[in-house]
Amino acid sequence: MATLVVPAPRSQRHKELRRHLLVYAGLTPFLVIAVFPIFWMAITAIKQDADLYLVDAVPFWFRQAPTWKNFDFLFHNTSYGAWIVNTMLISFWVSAITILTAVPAGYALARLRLPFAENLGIGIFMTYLVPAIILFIPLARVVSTLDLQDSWWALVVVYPTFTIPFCTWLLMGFFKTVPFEIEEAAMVDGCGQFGALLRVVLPVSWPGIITAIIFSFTLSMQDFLYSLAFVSISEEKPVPLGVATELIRGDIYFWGSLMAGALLVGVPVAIVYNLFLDKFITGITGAAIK
Amino acid sequence: MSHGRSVETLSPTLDRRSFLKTTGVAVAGATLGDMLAARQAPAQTKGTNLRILVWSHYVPAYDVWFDKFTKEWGEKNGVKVRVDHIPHLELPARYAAEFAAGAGHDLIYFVGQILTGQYYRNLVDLSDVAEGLGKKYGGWLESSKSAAQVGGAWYAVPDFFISIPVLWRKDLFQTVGMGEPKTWDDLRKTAGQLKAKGHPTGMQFSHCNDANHNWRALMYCYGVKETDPSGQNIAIDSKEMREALKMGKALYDEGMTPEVFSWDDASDNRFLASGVASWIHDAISAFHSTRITNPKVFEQTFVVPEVAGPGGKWNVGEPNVWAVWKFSKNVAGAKEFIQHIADNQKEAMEASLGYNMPFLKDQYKKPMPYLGKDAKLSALQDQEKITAFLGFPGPMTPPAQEVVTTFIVPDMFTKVARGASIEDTMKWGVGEIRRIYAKHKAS
Repeated sequence: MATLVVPAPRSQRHKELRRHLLVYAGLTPFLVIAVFPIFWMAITAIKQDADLYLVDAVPFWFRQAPTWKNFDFLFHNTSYGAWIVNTMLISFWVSAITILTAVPAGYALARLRLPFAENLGIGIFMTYLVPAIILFIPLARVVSTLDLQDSWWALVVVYPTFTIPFCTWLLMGFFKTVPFEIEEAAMVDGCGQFGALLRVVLPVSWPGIITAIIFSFTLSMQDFLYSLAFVSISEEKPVPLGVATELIRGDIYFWGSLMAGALLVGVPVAIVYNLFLDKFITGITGAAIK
Repeated sequence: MSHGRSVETLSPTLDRRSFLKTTGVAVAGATLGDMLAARQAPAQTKGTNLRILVWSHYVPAYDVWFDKFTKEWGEKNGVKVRVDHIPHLELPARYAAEFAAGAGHDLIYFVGQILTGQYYRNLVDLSDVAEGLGKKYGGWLESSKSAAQVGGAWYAVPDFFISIPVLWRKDLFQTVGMGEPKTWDDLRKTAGQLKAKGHPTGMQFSHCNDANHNWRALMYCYGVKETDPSGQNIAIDSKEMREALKMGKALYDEGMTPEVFSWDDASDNRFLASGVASWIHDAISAFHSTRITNPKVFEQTFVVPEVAGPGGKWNVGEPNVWAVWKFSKNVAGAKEFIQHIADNQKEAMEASLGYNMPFLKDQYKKPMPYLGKDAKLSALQDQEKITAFLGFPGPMTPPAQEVVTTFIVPDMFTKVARGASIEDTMKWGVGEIRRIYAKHKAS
């Protein structure tokens, strides 16, 4: 049987087109603001030094031939390879410690009907608000006592002090959105409290856990002060410290290599982040509505 | 003969304490003498580790030389040396962490923010090293004590100071009929004329080292005294300071653009290298980096040690000093290294392309390394005669250091440049400085 396709009226198509144009026109400034730093990083990373200082030239494109020498400098004159490995290892361990701690903490505070759980949750979150500039001095003693000075393991010890409070608070909010009934149903079917958490609550809380992992990973990747205070050996530095301390020499900035260094770690993380974007939004909004 | 002298010294009247003191000094002196003659560290430093924390030098080639120099010294003396470089602005945070932990580097370095006065209770008294170097090289410049001594004891040993001259574009100055600038007024007039032609000037109105020393250079040239010579009493509340603030505003209004409010230490380097700047007031690292980034601009860039004001000609130097934590595990090695690098000052100055200005008088014998053979820089060989340090004419006391680290002086110039009245600004700035001095007096 032939299907009769009725074209949309011309005026409706126009209306739809106009709606799209308006939406994209509204989004364009945000897109430009978001993408411009990455574009600037990318173009500076492959510009020659002399090209950066040509003030009469349009800065958004090349006057001299592009070059890979900034990347070459990064990998052959600095410990950039080691910095990337350190950054990834630190972020991995911090995320693992954070999730292993924040999941039970968040679950207990949200679902076990403990007295003062709400206030305790707020109290834990408040510790996240204590600035690093105050905390790094007492933490220096902890790091020294553990004999971890000048080792990236010092940062694995220190970073959970801010990732755990934040993620516990985040997961608390998320766990509150999971209906009690499904957990109770699991218990009726023979699960204990731990079994219900493992088999029922965690699988439906996946977006919240992904969000906590993303947060702890990115918070670990962007720290500067703690790494500055506790790590000074080049081979032990994470990327943010390495590029800022070894590619800025007094009043001379190795702009090309600085941008190349930031680009190489920034872009892959942004791509991975986007792969989990839906889960991230669900996690954030799930945590926010309770 | 020597035997006879020994007999004389060991007189029967010598008590046990005096004997120990005399022989101790003699043995120490002989050991140091032997050590210096042999150019080797004493046996107690062999097989030890020495951890050094220094800044990232403004002349990157110097760091290459320094790392090689330390490595060679370590190999020769059986000391395992590790050098860590971090930018000067990040050093104070690292020191705070090391101080709190009671562990860290053996040999540290103060630059820009001199923290000798803040940490001296936790630093080793290095008077033996400093006084030895002073005797060997004709004495220290009087100004060197300001950054290194507390209560007459050397808790730091000066390494070098950074000179901050005027870097000016001869070709641009000629377009408005000007030659080498002699006074701040010359700089103001020329900047005004050249700004109209697209070549303004710039000095930082922000929280960075350059702002601290550039505006103080103007102040001192206008006769401003931050304190009395004892460093105990504030003297900045003066007619001269008001005149300096007025000049700062005129320089901004006539010769600068608003970007100077967001400048950092490197902004004037970029400004010069871009070819836009008519002149800047900065260390010669800017001169050297322009040689690479913009050779045409470099050809036309010349150096004047300083320009004069109604109060004379004063350049502000930035001292760099060595210090040793009391918790250091290798004080002997650290002291030996300080001695060694001071003995090799000529090589160091050459490696820094004339950037490292010495603190020891004999090291000003002409021709000085690098400066003596560079026509554009040779005038800097007399720079020590016009150099003042932060807190001038008083020493760089702990409150004077706090005034520097809280950027009160640059903030005063910024307020006036942005339109605040000079009297209101003086009231605010002097009030802040008084508060700092009162706090230190009370503690």
